[in-house]
Parts: sequence; C-alpha cells; structure tokens
Amino acid sequence: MMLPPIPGPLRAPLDKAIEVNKAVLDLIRQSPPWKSIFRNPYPNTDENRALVMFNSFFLHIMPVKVKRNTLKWNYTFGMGLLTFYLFVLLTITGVFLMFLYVPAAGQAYTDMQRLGTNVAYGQLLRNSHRWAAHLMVLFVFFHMCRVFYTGGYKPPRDFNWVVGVILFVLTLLLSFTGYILTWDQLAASAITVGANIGAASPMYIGGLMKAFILGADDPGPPTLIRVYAFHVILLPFAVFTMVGVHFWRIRKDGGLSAPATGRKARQVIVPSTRGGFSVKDVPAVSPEAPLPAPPEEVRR
Amino acid sequence: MAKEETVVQDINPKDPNKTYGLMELMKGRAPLVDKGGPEESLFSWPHLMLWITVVFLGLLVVLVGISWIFDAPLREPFDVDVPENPAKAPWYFLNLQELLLHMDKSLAGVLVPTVVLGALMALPYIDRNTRDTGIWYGTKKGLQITLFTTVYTLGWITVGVLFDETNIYGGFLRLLPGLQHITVPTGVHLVAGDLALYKVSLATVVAGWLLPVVIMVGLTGLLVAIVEVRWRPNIRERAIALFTGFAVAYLYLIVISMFFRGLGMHLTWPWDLPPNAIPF
Ligand code: HEM
Repeated sequence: MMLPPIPGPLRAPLDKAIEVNKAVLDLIRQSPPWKSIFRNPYPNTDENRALVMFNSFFLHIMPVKVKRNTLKWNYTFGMGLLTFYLFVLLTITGVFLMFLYVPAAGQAYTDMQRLGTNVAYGQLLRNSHRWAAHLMVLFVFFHMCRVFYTGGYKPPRDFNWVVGVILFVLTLLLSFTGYILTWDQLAASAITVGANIGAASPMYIGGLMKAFILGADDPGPPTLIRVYAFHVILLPFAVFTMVGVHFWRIRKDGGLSAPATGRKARQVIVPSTRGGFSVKDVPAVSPEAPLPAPPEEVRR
Repeated sequence: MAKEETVVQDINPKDPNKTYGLMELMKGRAPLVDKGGPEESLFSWPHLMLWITVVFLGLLVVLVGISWIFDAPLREPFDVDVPENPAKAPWYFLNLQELLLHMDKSLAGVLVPTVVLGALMALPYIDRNTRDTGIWYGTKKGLQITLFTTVYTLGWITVGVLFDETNIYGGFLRLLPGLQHITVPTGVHLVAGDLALYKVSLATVVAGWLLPVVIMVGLTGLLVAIVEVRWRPNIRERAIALFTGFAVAYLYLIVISMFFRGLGMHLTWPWDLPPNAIPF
C-alpha cells in the first residue's frame, strides 16, 4: 500500500507502529483458531481467490468468476440484489418486532403506539420495517422490468423467470399481510378491499375465498391472527425457499445473462490424433451451437 | 515452528493397476459455453464482493435515513363499521382497486390478474430466441416500441378513466328500454342449502363485462396492429409492446387511484384530496 509522505519526527514511531501492527496480524493469522476458520490465506492470488469462494459457506453461492457484464451497473441496476437485501433486513427487523407486538385485536394497535413511546428506538425499528417493505415491492417490480427488457427471461433462464413471477406474487402478499397487522384504519380499508377482491371469485369459490381470508363473516380478531401467521411464518418461508431456488437456478443457468460472445473464437481442449490433448481454437459459433465436449475438466 | 511443506495431491488419484484411455466423444455443451472467455470474466473476489458490499452499506444508510426522517403511518384504531372515505388499499393494489371501479369485480379482481400472471409466466415459452439475450430492448425498434406503447397506454387510460367518470355509457344503458328488466344467469350460488341460479340484469352484464372486455381487448389489439404495421416486429418486439402496456398500466393506474381519487373514489385534483386520502 502506498502511504503518503510522513513528516520527519512522526516517521519513526509510525513505522514502528506499522511494524507492530503487522506482527500482531501475522500472529493472529498464523494462530490455530484463525486457521481453523479460514483455511486459505488472504485471497490475493488467483488460486486463493478461487479457494475463498468455494471454501466459505456464505460465499459459495457465488461463482469464482463472473462475467464483466454482470458487474455493469446499468445492466442489472442491482435491483434483484437490493430486493434480496431488503428481504434480509425485513427478516431481521421483523423478528425484533415480534418481541414487541401481540397479534390480538385488543392489543395490536396499542403495541404499535408503544413502539413510538415506550421502546428505545422502537419507532425507528417500525419505520425501517415499514419503508423496507414498500421498497421491496417497488424494487421487485423494477427488477422484473429490467429482466424483461434485457431479455433475461429467455432460455435457459425460462424457468427462473417463472420462479420470479411466483416471487413477485409472494412479495405482494407478504407486504399486504404486514400492512394489516397495525390494526388501524389503513388496515381496515386494506382488508375490506382485499376481502372484496377475494369474494369476487366466481360462484362458490368467492365465498370460500372470503372465509379463508377473514376467518369470519366480517374482518375481526380471527382475521388478525391468521394474517399474522401468514405474515411471520408461511409467506417468509415460501419466499426464502423460492429465493433459494432462484439463486440456485442463476448458477445452474450459467450466471446472469449477457450479450452473446459467440463471435469470438473460444478455446477448448480436444483430443489430438497423436494421443494426449491439445488446445484448439474453435471457430466463431453461436452460443447455442454445441461444442465438442472436452474429455476432462477444463481449468481456466 | 515446523516448516510448512506443500504437498501436491491428485484430486482423482489414478489406480496404478488400471489403464486409462479416451473412450468416446459426446455431443453436448462444453463448460465454457455462455460463460465468456477469460477476458470477459473477473474474479468474484474482490470485484463482485466489493460491489455487493457497497450496495448493502448504501442501502442501509438510505433506509435508516428515510426511517429517521419519516414516521410510518398509524391511523385511528381499526373499525370496519366506520370505514374511511375514501377507503384505499395499499398502493401496490390500487391498480386493482381502480379496475374495480370500471368493471365487474370478478373481472377486475380475478380474471384480469389471472390472465396477466398467466401471460407473464408463459412469456419465456413463447419468445425462445436467444440471439438477442442480454441486450437492452433487443433492437432499436424495441426501444421505439417501448416509447410508443408508453404514450399509447397513458393516453388511452386517461381517456378511459375520464370517459367512465362521465357515466355516459351507464346512462345510455339505462335509457335502453328492456335492458334493465332482462336478467341473465351468471353463475350458481347456495340459497338455504340449495343451488340456485345467480341472475343479474342485462345492463349489468353489458356495463360490467361486455364493454370493459371489448375495450381492453380492443385497445390491446389495436396496439398490436399498429406495432405490426409500423415496425414489422419479431416475437420479442411484440412481447415488448404487450409487457410495456402492462407495466405502464400497472403504474399509471396506481398513480390515478392514489392521487386523483377523493371522496367516494371520485376523480379529484391532488390538491383537493380529503385528508388521509393517500394510503401512506
Ligand atoms: C423476492 C424477489 C426476488 C429476488 C430477491 C430476486 C433476486 C435476484 C437476483 C439477486 C438476481 C441477480 C441479478 C440481479 O440482481 O438483477 C436475479 C436475477 C433474475 N431474476 Fe430475480 N429476484 C426476485 C424476483 C424476480 C421476479 C419477480 C422475476 C421475474 C418475473 C425475476 C426473474 C429473474 C431472472 C430471470 C433472473 C436472471 C436474469 C439474468 O440472467 O439476466 N426475479 N434475481
């Protein structure tokens, strides 16, 4: 690392400090506990950059290398990533809210008020959960639009788009159920409109839908508790699972979509006529055209 | 400390008692297909890691900032017997609520969303050409179609919403003698344990189903026809017209319902809205 020039009298003590710092860090990095957690050295060589990705539980969901295109800010606008982060933040703030909120018709509303008056940072907690929920809906919609306009839904990502549409619906439902939990007049308007839409299903189904949503003939205490169960367990679990499938599929579908690079020759290892293997250039092909399968894993 | 030695080990050690040879070449995709060459890719560490960290921290700052400044709303305690006026759903369902004003509620609340979601899910099985994957709008035409459709959709929705507010066709239907008195069965329901036919007047059917469907299908058809003639589109470009129509309608109906609907959900200027008309 480049350090700015240091004025004379400070130089010696600073150098000493840096030296001690390095020694301490080395000591830590050489210690058995550290090495038991991080099995490879700091990732500053290509090999270690690869190792760090697949040796870490948290990082191994990401590939060792990504296309340049994936990192272009104006390709994804980070919308999917932001949606995911908002879901994480909502889960964390949501669990804290569960400590402070009882989903009973007589208490829910006062619990909301108490968050603003009796709980340290309670209002901030509630605000961030609320605004994050709105942002998540907004971003999931923008994410869908970006995927659409970049053609990210085309094969082999066709099924992942369907997973996405399901996630879109789940996100709306998650946000809607949370909106009811404040048990104020906004919630009353929302559940009334919601139940009306549910009841609009043709024939017999409408009545069933309404009963399913409200748990009674009119919105009331049974409604609150079932909406709560959906909001804190069923829907988050469904989103969590589907996001898992979504990310898994991104990996299996060859990472994010990108413009075809088919015009460029690509190298593959092919068996040579004299035995052994040689690296050959494959002429320009469309990315759809099958290439001869390399006989062993190709390492880049 | 003992000196560390690097031991190189084969991941798949060869059995010395066996011979190895290439048996067969198979057709298939090579691992390199669609992954870009070495020049087109970067190591996740540090490039991707850096960005996802920066985005997370940025989001955290923005979210805490917003939450610091703006308090989440909390209105009067829940009471369905004293409904708010206007009573609005959360903003992301206001587009559905807006539709409810213009047509039968089964059509607005069930059929239209089902068709839209079905079409969205079917999309990747209809447009399967991968040549233009990864390119915004696919072609220049795609961008032009997007812009055209945006204007087209905004225009027609404005016209439709204003027209419906005048209640011209509602009044017109009432003038037509007979329409009120003719009833048609539209379904079955339970009356005291028995299945009974559910009947509504023909006027309701015309105003709630026939006209809205004709208008929605007709305007979509007109859009497709214009795009067809003007741009000679491929499948993706047709999809762009339809998706843009959906996305713009989705957002614009929210805006109308949120900012332009006051008492009794009648059209109002945003500055004339009654207090609490915006569900935030
Ligand atoms: C909870 C909701 C969702 C989360 C957390 C999520 C997350 C992500 C993330 C992190 C990516 C990586 C690229 C990016 O950031 O843009 C991605 C890609 C993708 N998403 Fe989503 N997504 C969600 C909903 C959706 C929806 C609603 C759709 C479409 C209807 C969708 C379709 C896709 C597809 C097809 C890709 C691959 C795009 C490509 O390769 O260019 N996702 N998603």
